[in-house]
Amino acid sequence: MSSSEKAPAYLGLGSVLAVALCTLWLALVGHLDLYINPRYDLFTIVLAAVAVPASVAGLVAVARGHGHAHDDEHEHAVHDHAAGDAERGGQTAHERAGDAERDGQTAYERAGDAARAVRRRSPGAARVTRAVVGGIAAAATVGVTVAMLVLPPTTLTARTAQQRSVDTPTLSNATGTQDVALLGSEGVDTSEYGVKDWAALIRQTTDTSALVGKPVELEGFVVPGADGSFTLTRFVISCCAVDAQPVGLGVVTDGALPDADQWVRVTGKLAANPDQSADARIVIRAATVRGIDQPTDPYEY
Amino acid sequence: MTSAPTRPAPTRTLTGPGLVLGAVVVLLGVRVVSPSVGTAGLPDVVQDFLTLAISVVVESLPFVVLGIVLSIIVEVWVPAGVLERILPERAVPRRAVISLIGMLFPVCECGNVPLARGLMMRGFTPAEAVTFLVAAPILNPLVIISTAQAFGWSGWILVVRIVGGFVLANLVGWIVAAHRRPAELLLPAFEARCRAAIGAPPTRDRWRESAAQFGGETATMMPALFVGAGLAAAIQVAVPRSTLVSIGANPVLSVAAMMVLAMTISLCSNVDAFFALSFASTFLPGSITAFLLIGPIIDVKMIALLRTTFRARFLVLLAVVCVLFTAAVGLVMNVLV
Repeated sequence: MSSSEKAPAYLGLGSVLAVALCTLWLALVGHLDLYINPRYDLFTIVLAAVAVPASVAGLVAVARGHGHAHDDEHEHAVHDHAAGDAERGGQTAHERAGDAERDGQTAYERAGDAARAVRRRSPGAARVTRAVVGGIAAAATVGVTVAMLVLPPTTLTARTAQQRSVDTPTLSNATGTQDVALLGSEGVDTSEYGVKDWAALIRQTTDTSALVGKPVELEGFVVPGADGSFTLTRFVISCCAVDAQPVGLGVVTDGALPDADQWVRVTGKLAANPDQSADARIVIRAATVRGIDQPTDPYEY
Repeated sequence: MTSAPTRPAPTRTLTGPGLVLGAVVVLLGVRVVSPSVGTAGLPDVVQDFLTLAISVVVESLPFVVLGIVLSIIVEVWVPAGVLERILPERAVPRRAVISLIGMLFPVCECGNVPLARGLMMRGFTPAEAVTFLVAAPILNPLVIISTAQAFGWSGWILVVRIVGGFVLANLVGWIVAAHRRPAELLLPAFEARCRAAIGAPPTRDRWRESAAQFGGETATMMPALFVGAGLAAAIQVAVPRSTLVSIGANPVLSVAAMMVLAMTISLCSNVDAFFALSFASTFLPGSITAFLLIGPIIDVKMIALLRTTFRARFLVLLAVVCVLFTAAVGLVMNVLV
């Protein structure tokens, strides 16, 4: 293989190596959960640990795959190999391995040569299309890999929360519905409730008057709402950030409204929504709204 | 082969990997030195696009690596004839058994593309490989367990997902087998690779062969994965999800809405049941089942991955068959259940 033909393999192996190492680093500093549900941490870490030595071995194997006259007679070359193999039947395994070394090509690479021969015979237009698509794919590979390693990991923003309808009460149940129904019954300690639990409880309760007056202390980030209110929001992750579902509680406050995306701790009591036309029947009447740093685990599950 | 040795000098041999390793080390150095969490001051749209794309890559990479490792095992380490002997001779029962191979290799949708490639390089026909491709992400223990955890036995969702996946896989396999020349559905380059691989003598150094194959398969799969992740993220950023989910109650439109959601969100089939559960209160069971059936087979990430191996016309055929079948199942369920 010429060096230009090795470039795709270097790109693929380099991106695997980079993403796998970055995954291990994220796991090490405890930020892997910004991208995936902790339930898959172990699986992800183990396979990343497999990918690192495998891609280094791949790099060495590709580098040592030796030069080869790429012509349409390649089919014959394959047959020569077969005949040669038969003649070498009497050798020891070690000697045969040495031959493979000298031949410098694995069966996989020889098959790859056949594939390349077919590509070269294809019409010019197809080759141009393939070059363009390949270029875009290479750019996407390099771009995302570099972004992953150079930019600091972060959460999704309020923009995505709004786009995924944080205000629609029907959508806010996410996972764990049954648990909350049990937790919501009388005499249960609600101090450990998160935004998701309260949102689910409010949605499932038919007689919301029972909830009015319950004290809450919750953390979340700010999604701006109508006048004098905002939505205290958390993302709920079932697999990874792609499926993040925003859940939120409306907050009514007399104080200054915090900025969008700001993380806050809200203390207050549940109250009937002053805006009768809104879907959400219950909001938090905030006693205090205090800005905080983003928690180490910003998502709920 | 009779020409003078053309192997480059050792120094040149190491230039390529050296450059790659150097670049990775430099990037990783930047990563370790720079702040561990925070925003880089990018606009929200760009930031969210990158977060979503990276999350798809981080989530999918282990499955792609697992799929490639399994495909290497199937192609390099399992002796010739072992798999072939235990499979029935006749085509239809043979494909039925192949559609259950996923029960042994729990790969989800990203991992099964490299594994299906490995099966074809081993000599499986395209029809057999496609049957496996459609069946494996649904008919595997992890997916069945997670679906059972999410939905239990309620609303027939679990049963219809399993049976529907089996029927759909064998239907697609049957259609491909009925094609005049099934090999025409493959990209010519991949088809030539298969022919050469099947005719090749047995490998002498399996570890070296494995490493070379790992390099070749990552070269093919990784750019496709990144393109798929980018497309999925771009759609997520550009199209408000609220417009899709606002039509949950209509028995006909909700099936279409959930199918479109599944095809754009590109979730891994191992976990999509938990995500679908969050829609269970608003969407009818048929619509949820349609989501769970189409998502593992046709979505933007999968199409990018499948395009490494199949011609566009096959992907159109696959999409049409799967969409029609899934829509029919979903609609019938919405009417009956």
